[in-house]
Amino acid sequence: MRRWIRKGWAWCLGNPLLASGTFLFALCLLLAVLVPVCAPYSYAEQNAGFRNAGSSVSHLFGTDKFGRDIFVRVWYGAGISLLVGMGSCLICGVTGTLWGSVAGYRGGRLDMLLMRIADVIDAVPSLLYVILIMLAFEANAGSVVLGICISGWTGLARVVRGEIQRLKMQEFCTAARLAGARTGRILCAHLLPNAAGPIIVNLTFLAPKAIFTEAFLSFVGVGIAAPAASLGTLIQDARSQMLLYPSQMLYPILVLCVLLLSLHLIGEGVERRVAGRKKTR
Amino acid sequence: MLRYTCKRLATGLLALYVLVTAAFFLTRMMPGSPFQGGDATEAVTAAVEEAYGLKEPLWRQYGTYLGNLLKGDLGISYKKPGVTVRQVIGRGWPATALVGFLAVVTAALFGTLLGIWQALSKRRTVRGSIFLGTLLGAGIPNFVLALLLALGFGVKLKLLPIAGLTEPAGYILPVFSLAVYPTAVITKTMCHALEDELEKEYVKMARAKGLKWRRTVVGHMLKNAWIPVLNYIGPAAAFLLTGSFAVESIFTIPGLGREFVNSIANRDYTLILGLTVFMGVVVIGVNLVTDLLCAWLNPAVRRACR
Repeated sequence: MRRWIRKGWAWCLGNPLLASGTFLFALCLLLAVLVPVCAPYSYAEQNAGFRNAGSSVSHLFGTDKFGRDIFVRVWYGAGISLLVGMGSCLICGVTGTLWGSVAGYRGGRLDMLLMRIADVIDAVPSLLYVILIMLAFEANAGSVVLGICISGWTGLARVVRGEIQRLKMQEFCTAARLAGARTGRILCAHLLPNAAGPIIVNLTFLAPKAIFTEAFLSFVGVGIAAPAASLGTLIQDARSQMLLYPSQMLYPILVLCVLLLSLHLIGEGVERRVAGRKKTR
Repeated sequence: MLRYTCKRLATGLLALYVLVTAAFFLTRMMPGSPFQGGDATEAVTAAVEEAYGLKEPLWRQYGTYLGNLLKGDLGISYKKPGVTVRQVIGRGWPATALVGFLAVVTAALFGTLLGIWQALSKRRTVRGSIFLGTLLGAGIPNFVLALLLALGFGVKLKLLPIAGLTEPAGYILPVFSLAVYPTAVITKTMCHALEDELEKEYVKMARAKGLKWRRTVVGHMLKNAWIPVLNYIGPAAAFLLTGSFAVESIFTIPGLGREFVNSIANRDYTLILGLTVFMGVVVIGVNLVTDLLCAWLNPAVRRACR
């Protein structure tokens, strides 16, 4: 275990993109977990005597038009964003890997059928499906994840299929088959670890996409319902007072951008590592 | 080529059918009646639902909807009396299409140029700053960018108009905020494609036979490197249409995106359904055209499909 951590550490340090991205992401994760737990206010607690206050020691980012503490609300929203990002990454990752490896390994008719299904799902912008799902089901984080996962896995499935098709022709795979290994074992122990690089790259770019989708939906007004708050809702709520109190809008924007940028940095860093582009620019 | 065209056409039509079906049943699943609320008694609501054909069995409603769709009839708006969905689309589409088209052109132009610059520049600072730019461009959501631009340029500096499209300058901010993300993606795609091309033999060959560097890049490498960019135009269209939801609401542009957001707020189910289907048609159409174009330009795509 310690060796793994040290290895991962060295992996990060050699790559400034990955290192800075990981640092920012860890910071966001830490604050999103700790702030709602440790803060003296809850995200929904209203304080009528303390509306639209500026930054102070007791309210770091000030308060909104209902006297709710923006610092707590922003990090609570960031937590929801992270939850949505990780949840959809996990589900899409499993679905896409399974789908792609079955299609790539079996080939033939089944491959055709599976990939045509992916094409059909992919042909329409996923946001349209997601919005309809949000309207039809309850407006909570679960529906957002469900909506994102309906089409989010197709890109990964394609990547996995391509990798498996490439790998299954190689000699180590034939050797494993001749040695009598079962299909599941060949896939899990031999093929997928070799395809791990592209899979990880794809997943790291999936997370910011999911977070963006959630924020976008909440901003448009079909996202997470009140009193729960996400970064998109916070931005939308502050929009009506944008001219008087721009800081109420700027803080959630800042956190959202830092979160997305950190994930993009990680994605670019991992991509470079995997592609073996040694020259750091 | 014919085989490939048929295949793509079939996939497109199937995708459209799936979208229509899913959208229809999802809108029927939405909680509550569209005519609830106000002082309407239950009898009145029931009567109105009867008049709109909502009391019939679901499969018959579905059949009617599909039949009308084939005739190009998307139904009437539930919340705007006497307005058909087609009229709404007819009014909103020109503004959305124009802004989207301008954004695509801007993104393709600047993305290609920046990508070439990033791939071929010998100066580290140039490459680094363009890379940083693509990172920011891809990371900042379009609605955030639109809000920041409206706040900065429109309200604080008072340089550009931030509402409506009545004057040409009104296009600048919406087009810019929509174009940034596609520009970043195209720059990255272009740069990667060119870097791959740089290592190929034909570039060496062209140089060896005495072709100027500029001619090698423009005449030979760009032709190959542009294919991935062309491939991206389809997803870009999807991004611009959905991106217009937020950007049009922020800059109060009378387009489809704003209609969509308003119809969500009003729970105007037929309008939501109609706009979803229409946008699906547009995106599937753009995807089809770019795919066919790619196949026409690049025989390898056609052969791979057999």
